[in-house]
Amino acid sequence: MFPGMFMRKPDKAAALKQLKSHAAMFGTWVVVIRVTPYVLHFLCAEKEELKLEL
Amino acid sequence: MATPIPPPPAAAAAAAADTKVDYLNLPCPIPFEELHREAMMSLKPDLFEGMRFDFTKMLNQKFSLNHSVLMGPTEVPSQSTETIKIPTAHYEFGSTFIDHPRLLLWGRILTDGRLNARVKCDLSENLTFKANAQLTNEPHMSHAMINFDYKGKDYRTQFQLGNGALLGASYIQSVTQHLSLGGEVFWAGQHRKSGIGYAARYNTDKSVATGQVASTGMVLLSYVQKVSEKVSLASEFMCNYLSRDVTASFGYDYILRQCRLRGKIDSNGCVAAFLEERLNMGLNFILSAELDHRKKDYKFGFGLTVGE
Repeated sequence: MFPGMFMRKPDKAAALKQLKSHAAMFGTWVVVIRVTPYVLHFLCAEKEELKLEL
Repeated sequence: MATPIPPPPAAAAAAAADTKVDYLNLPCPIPFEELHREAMMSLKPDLFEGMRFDFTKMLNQKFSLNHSVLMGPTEVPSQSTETIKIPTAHYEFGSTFIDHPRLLLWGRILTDGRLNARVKCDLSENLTFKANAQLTNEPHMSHAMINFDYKGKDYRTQFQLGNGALLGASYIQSVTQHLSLGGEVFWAGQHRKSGIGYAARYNTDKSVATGQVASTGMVLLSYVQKVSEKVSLASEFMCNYLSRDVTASFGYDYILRQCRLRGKIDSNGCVAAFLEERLNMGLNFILSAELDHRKKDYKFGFGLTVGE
């Protein structure tokens, strides 16, 4: 028989807590990815400004 | 008559280096589920054992029928470490409807009653609906899954629903012209388990490097280098840091004018090769071989494909 069939299900409250944690981490990661191009754009624009002053 | 001197390559290289990255106008990445597409193409061809015959008939521009026969041994799961095979033969009937590019309907049914079905439909310019199902006669062995894919300006996001209270979501976005970052989260309600994963992909004209890690312990790294117009070399490292399984694979993909040859060798002692040769327009010859020296399991297959 397959070992998974006898695996005891984790407690529902603990499982939901872990799900919320994973969803929060996923959301944070999406926000970080979303913001990255704008940060890079800002940094490049700043450098360009410095070049113009020269 | 004097001929103009071609510009020096250094100037061209300098011009290329001076190209500014427009971070507000990035390309759209490939879907999250196809992150390792190039590595999969080289390292995981459709290997089979026995004789295979596929016949495809186009009834009109959109509708086609497919007949497949496969005869050969089938591996049966067993308690012991030895491989047990039973000779089998089955016939598969399929139909495909493609209303390019909005709608795709695909179905296959086997003589033992198993049914595979796929649907892909563009609900709008940016929203795509996908569904796939595997139905069987055995109780509780049927599966189905639906996907909603949304394609944005520089990102893709996906939402999945499956039987067994399976939920999933993924997101991938370009952060530079060549680098994409992504993530996924999933919940298996039947087992009350959730997980999270992260992924990255860096691709240029000549090479693709990808990495993926998940809370289930899965780590997957791959690198594919295009050596020339005809040859690609691929490598893959897969491990599970919870169960301590580790596999490293190296493969090649050799595309010639009339045939394509793919092969691989991995750290488990498995050597495989797959050859597809076009004998004529609409007639393809296939050879497949897989030698698992550790398990002493050797598979050889040959097949014919008729029709486009």
